[in-house]
Amino acid sequence: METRAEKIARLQSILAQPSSIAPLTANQKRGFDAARLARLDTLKELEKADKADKADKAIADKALADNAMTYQENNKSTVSSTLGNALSTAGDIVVSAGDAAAHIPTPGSIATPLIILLVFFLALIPIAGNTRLKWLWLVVTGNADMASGVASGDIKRASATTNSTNPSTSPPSFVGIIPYMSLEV
Amino acid sequence: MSAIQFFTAWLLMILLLAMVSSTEWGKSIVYYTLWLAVILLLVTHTEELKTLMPQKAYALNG
Repeated sequence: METRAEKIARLQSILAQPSSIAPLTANQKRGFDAARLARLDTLKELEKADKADKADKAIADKALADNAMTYQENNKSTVSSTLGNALSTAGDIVVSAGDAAAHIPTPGSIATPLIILLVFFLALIPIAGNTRLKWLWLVVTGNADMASGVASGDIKRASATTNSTNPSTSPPSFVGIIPYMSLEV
Repeated sequence: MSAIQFFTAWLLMILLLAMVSSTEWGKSIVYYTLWLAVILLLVTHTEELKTLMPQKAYALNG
């Protein structure tokens, strides 16, 4: 076991020896600097290449993921998409038909046929010899019998009409303004 | 059918026609439906309408 003193003495003897390391010359320094710079450039290039590889890998991974998503979407059931397309087409047809109907002209407005129908129902179509308006007037003035449908003020015409008509036909109805279909031939 | 049923049916039909005519696409449909009703009325009540014309008119027109 070396003592402390012996250790110190040994180290001092080593330090006392002449150094074998010689100072570097200028050329050696330039060589070492060039080598260090070359190593630094190599390291930078390696880092750049590594970054490029990583970027390429990220792009490739994204493309693979997109392709996988597209593949999955294309292979989904087409029934729902077809049904949706059919419904939308049907809706478009209905809307276009509605638009076409809206552009159809209506000369004279809706009141024209309504007024014509009203005039026909009440004043022009005779029922059992008299029009509805006339029957109404006869009932109001007390000259008509609602049960038999005969006007007392126009007995001849009414009786002739009732004799000529089919007995199975019903008497004129005073309920509402329902048109009376004649069964005469 | 009773009178009430007739009245109810007529009122419902009139209400439906009024609602349809209030729309843009329904106005023309109701308009031409009413004209069709006028034509049908004329066709079905031809004999009654003939009584409105005097006999002389029939004689002159053959």
